[in-house]
Amino acid sequence: MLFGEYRLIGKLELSTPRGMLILEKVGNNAVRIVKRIGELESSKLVSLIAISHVALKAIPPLGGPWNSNCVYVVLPEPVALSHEAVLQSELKLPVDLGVFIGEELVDVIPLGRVKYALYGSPDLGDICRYVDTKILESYVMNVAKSRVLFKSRGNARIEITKLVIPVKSATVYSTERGELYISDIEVNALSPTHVEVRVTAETSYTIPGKLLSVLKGPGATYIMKYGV
Amino acid sequence: MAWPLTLDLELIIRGAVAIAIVVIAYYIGKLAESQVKKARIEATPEVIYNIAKVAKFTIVIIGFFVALSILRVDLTGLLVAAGFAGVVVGLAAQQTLGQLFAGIAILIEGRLKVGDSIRIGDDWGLVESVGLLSTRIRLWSGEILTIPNGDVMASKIYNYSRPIARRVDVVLGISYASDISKAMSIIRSVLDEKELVLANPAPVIIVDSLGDSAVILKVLFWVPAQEYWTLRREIVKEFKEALEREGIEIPFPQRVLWFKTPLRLETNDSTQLTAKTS
Repeated sequence: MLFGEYRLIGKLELSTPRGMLILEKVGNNAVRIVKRIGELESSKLVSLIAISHVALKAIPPLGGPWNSNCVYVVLPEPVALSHEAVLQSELKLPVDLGVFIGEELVDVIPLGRVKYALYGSPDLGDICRYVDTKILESYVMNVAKSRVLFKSRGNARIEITKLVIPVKSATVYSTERGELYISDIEVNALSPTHVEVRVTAETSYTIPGKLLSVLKGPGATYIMKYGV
Repeated sequence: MAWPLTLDLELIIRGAVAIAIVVIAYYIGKLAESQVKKARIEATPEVIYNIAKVAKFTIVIIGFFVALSILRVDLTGLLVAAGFAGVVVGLAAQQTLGQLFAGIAILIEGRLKVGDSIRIGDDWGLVESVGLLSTRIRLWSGEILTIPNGDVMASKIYNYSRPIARRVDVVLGISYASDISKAMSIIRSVLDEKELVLANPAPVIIVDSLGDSAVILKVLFWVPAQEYWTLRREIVKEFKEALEREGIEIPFPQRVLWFKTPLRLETNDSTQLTAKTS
């Protein structure tokens, strides 16, 4: 398990599911972060002010080569909602590894396969991290559970096959036992072209054991206007 | 019309002051222009550029009128004359005014922004500035192309910076002896490995046609618009390498020739061979 706080003396080498993370103290006020993913290696020098601890936290899946704020999730099975229906379900989302120096997030390392998807039209839509069951498998243990509450407010039956989640605003909880939780999601379906996906700031799970690290998010809503 | 000034010392002083005011107004105008350009205004660069130009022009005009009043020129008469002259100038400068209104329309409509990658007619490049009269494009070859705004308004413009995602179309030919399904699967795995090839819309691979010397495959996939050229370049190279590695031949054009009469070939030891046509 990678998540936790590390004291930085000289060089710290950590193996990640896809390669290696090396944190090397350079003088008294800088850290070199070296990422090895497969055969690719990249490094960057980060300045710090007399901080000797580095925290590795589970964060929402926002890392990778493209800067996105959302996750496009293909549901494992479609959810059909009849008029005024309420349905509770569970969703699994991958987490990334956030490298924090003090309170500052200095790097993000995806812990499995990264793909992106376009939601909406090419000029007005959003490019989000893509998650389906195949992608999720590559994250092995680094998968967080979330409670999803589907509510239908529309007059007709609505079938939901995908969700676009504003996951940047979600809260991720990781426990000492290695369990991961992500804040609750509320889906308000008004029509097939107006579905509100709200990430709350809290989780309704009773989290067992001691919390290791929590990345608090403020919660946010995404309106799916291009179909579900 | 009687001029109120006589050629005496007062006239010389007034003239000098008037010239000084025009010069000062010009420099204040230039200063205002540069300050507006540097100011933190919540507006696009092309709007800031034009506000700066208008600010400079306004200050210079005010300076010019102040100078005229110092010279005791009757501004009322001048304004009447200016009204008449305006009609004449308006007729003469019809085209320029057309460019000006086109410029305002471009700025309001937001069709182009500084830094946009565009194709206008046969010219490709980056928008360098959107002025009130003309638009400047820096072509990929480095030259600056200045287009009157009227022409910009009338042209078909392809703006490649506006979409967030673009489709890449690649045409590939594989030999008739190659396994089409295997080739398609190799292409699909190359695309699958690339993080920035979008999973949705999903890549499409089709057998487009049966060519003279190859089976033509068409590969369509979406990528973030900013990464279009980098990914296109990388992926086409990787298609070729992956197909060759797996023994899929990418043929070059071939032609089968049929001879009317048998073809006689000679080897180095003067042995004669006869090539048969069938």
